[in-house]
Amino acid sequence: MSDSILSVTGLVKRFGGVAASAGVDLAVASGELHAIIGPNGSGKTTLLSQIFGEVRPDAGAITFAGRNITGTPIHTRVLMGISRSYQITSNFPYATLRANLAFGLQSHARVAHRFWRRASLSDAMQAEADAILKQVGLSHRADTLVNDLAHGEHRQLELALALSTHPRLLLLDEPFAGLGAAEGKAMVRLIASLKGTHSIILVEHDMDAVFALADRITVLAEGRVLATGSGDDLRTSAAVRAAYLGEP
Amino acid sequence: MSRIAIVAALLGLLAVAGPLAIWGGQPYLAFVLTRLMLLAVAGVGLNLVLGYCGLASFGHAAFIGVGAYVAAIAATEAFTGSVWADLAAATAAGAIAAAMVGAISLRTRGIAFILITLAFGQMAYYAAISLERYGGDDGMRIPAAALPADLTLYGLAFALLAVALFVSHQIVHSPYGTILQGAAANERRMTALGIPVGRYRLAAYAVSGALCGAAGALQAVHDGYVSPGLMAWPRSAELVAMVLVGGAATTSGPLLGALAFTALDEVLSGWTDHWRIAFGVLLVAAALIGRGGLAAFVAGRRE
Amino acid sequence: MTAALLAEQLLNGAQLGVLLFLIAAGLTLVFGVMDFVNVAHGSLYMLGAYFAVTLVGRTGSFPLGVALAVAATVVVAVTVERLLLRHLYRRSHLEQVLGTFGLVMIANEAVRIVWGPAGLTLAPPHALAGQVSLPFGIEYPAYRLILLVAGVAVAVLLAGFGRTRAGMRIRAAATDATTLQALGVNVGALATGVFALGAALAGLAGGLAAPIVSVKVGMGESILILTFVVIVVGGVGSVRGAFLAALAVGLIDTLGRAYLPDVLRHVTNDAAASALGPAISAVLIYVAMAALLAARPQGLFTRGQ
Repeated sequence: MSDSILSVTGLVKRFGGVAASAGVDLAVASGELHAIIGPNGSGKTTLLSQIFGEVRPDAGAITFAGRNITGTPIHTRVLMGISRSYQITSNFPYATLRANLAFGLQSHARVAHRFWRRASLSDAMQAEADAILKQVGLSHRADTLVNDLAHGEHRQLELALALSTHPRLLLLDEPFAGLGAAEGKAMVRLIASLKGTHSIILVEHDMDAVFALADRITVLAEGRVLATGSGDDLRTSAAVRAAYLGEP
Repeated sequence: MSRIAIVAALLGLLAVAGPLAIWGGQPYLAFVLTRLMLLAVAGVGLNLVLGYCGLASFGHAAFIGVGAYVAAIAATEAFTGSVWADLAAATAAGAIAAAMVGAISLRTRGIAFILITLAFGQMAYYAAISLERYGGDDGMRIPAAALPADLTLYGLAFALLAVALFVSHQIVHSPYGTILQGAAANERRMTALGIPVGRYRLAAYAVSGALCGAAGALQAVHDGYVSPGLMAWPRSAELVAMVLVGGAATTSGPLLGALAFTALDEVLSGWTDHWRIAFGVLLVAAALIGRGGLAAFVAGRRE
Repeated sequence: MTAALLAEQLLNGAQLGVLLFLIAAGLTLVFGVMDFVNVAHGSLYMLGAYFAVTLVGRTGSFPLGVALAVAATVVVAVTVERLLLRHLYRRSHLEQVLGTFGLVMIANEAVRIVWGPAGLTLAPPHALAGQVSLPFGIEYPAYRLILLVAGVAVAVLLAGFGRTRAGMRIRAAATDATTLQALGVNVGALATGVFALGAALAGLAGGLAAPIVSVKVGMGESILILTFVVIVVGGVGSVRGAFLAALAVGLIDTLGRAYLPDVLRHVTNDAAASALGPAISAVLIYVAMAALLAARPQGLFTRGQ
C-alpha cells in the first residue's frame, strides 16, 4: 500500500505468558478513519500504545509516513505528527484549559525548552488555542480550571489535547467512554469534522459510533487480526460474528 | 503579602543587616546570617527539583559537599589563587555530579528514586572519607590566608542568593519551567505532547546541583573547614525538611525555611543540650499538619 | 591471599549479608504494602541493640535478653505506628520522609538521654566467645558463625511464612496495593502486622549485631542506606529479592574492601592508582548498584511495566 500513512507488520508483544499482540498487520490509508474493535483484552489499547511508542514491541515493524519508527522515542513521533488520546482522561487538572493546550502548542512550535522568557503565549499561539477549543466546542471554558469541567467536557478536552500538537495521525482510545446519548452525538459530529484533514485510528466499543464514522474496520481478537473491511463487509462476516459477537 | 514582596523584604533586610552587624561589632550575627543565606541558596537549588519537578531527591547534601571539597582543595593547593575561579569550578562540579546522579536515578520512580538518591549521597560521603590526602574522616582545614574577609564573604553569599532566586524565578515562569511543573502533575500526558520529560528533568537536576555546589563552596570558605559530615544523608534530609517547612514550589519557601531552621537552631540549642528532640517533634508535627509550609502561612492563603 | 583468608572473608560477607537481610526484609514489605517511606527503620535496629545491651545485662542470659529486646522494639514500633505513622500512610512520600526523619532525631536524642552519649559494648554469650575450627583449617569466631546460621534460619522461616495464607496476602499486597482493598482485607491491621514484623526483624538484627559492632547513636543511619541499596537492587516489595541482594551487597562490599586495593596494586605500580584503591572499594557497592539500575531500573526481582 503505497498511499498508507501507517503500516504495522508482524507486531508481537507479550506480557508474561500472555500475547497482547500476536502478529498484528495493519495499514491505514492517508485520510482514512480506521476503527479497531474487539472484545476486552483483545489487545486494542496495547496496539495503540505500540504505535505511539509507549510500549516497545517484542517483534515486528511500524512504519509512519515512509519511515521506520519501531524504536523511535515518543517525543520524536509526536513531532513527526502522531498524537493520541487516552481512554481514561489524562490532563493537567490544576491549570486552565488554555494552559493545558499551551504545552502541546509550545511543544509543536519547538519553544518548549526556552527557560529564560515568560511562558505567556504569543498572539499566534493564543489564536491557535482558541481555534482548537472552538473546534471541540469548549470556547466558553477557555479560562476555567480543568478540575471544574464536567465528564463530557473532559472527553472534549482529551481530543483538544491530542489536536494541540498538530497531528497528521490521531490515535483515539475510546473517546465515547462514559458519554451520554446527546454527548455521543456531538462527539460523532466532532470526529467526523476531523476526517479528511486527519488520518485517524479509532479504538471504540460504541458500535453505533464506529459504523457511523469508520471507513474501514479491523476486528482484533486475542491479539490477532480477525478481519478487516467496511462496516457492511463485517456485519455479514460469519467469522466475526462467531468470535466477536459470540454467536454460533 | 505576595510572595515576591516577602522575598524582596527579606533580601532588603539581609542587605542591610550584615554590614551593620560587622561594623557594629556583632560578627557572630553576620556569621549566622551568612550561613542562613548559603542554606537558602542550596534550598533554592533543591526546590527546583523537589518543588517544581515534584521529585523527592534525598542526595542533595552530596552536591553541597562536592562544591565544598572542590573549593577547599582548590584553595589549599592554590591551583588558581582566585576565589572566583574556585567558585566557578565548584559550581561546575556540583552540576556535573548532579547530572551523573540524575542520569541514573531519573530512570526510576517513586520510592526507588528516593532510595537511590539517598544511596548516591552516601556514596559521595564514603568517597570523601577515603580521601586520605584531604583529611579522610577528619576533614581538612583551609589555610586562613586563602579566606576572604567577613564582609566580602557576606557580600558574596548575598549576591549568590539574589542570583539564585532570580534564576529560579526566571526558570519557573518560563515555558520550560511550566512544563516541568506540568510533568510533575502528569508525566504521561506531558510525554504524549512531545516533551522529552527525562531530559528536561535532567537539566533541572544539573542546575539544582550547580546552585548547591556554589553554596557548598562558599560554605567551605565561610567555615574555613570541610568534612565528610557535610554529605551524610541526614544533612540531605534536613535540607528537604527545610524546603518543605518553608513551602515547596514557592519562590519564598527556601528562604523562609532557612530562616526558620537557623532561628530554631540558634534558639533551641541555647535552651538545652537535647534540642534535637524538640526539632524532631517539630518535623513530625509539620509532616502531620503541614500543607504549603510557611510560605502559604505568611502569604495568607492555603493551596 | 590464602584460601583460608578468602573463606573467612566470604563468611564475613555472608554474615553482613544476613544482617542486612534482617533489616531489609521487613522494610521492603513496609515500602511495598503501605507505599510508605520509613527512614526511621534504622532507629529500630539501634533500639534493638541498646535494649539488648541492657536486657542481657539484667537477665544474665543472652538469648532471653535478645528475645526481650525484640519484644521491646516491637512494642515501641507498634505504639509509634498506631499513634503517628498511620496518619502518614496516605500522605506524599515527602511528608512521610519528613515525619519519619523527625522520629530519627527523636530516637537518637532519646537514646542519648537514656543511655548516655558514649558507645556501649556487649560481650557475646560465654559459650560462643571462642573460635571454631571449620574444614580446610579455617578458624572463625563462633558467635559470627551462629549469627550467620540464625540469619539464614530466619530467611527460611520467612519463606515458609510467605506460603501461608497471611503471607500470601502480604505478598500480593506488596506487589499490587490495590489487591489489598479488592480482597477486603482489614488494611489497618495488616499494616500494623507488617510493621510489627519489620520491627521484630530489625530489633533482632540490632540485638544480634550488638556483640560485633559498637552500639552507639547513629548506628542505624549508616546501615539504613546500605539496606536501601539492598531493597532497590532486590526490587521494592520483594523479600526473596532482598535476600539475594543482601547477600550480594554483603559479599561485594566485604570482598571489595579486602581485596580491591591489593588487586589494584598488582595490576599497576602507579602510586596514585593504588592510593585510589580504598576510595574505589568504599564506593564499589554504589557503583555496582548504579550499573545495575542503568540496565534494570525496576531492580532485579520485580517485573517492569
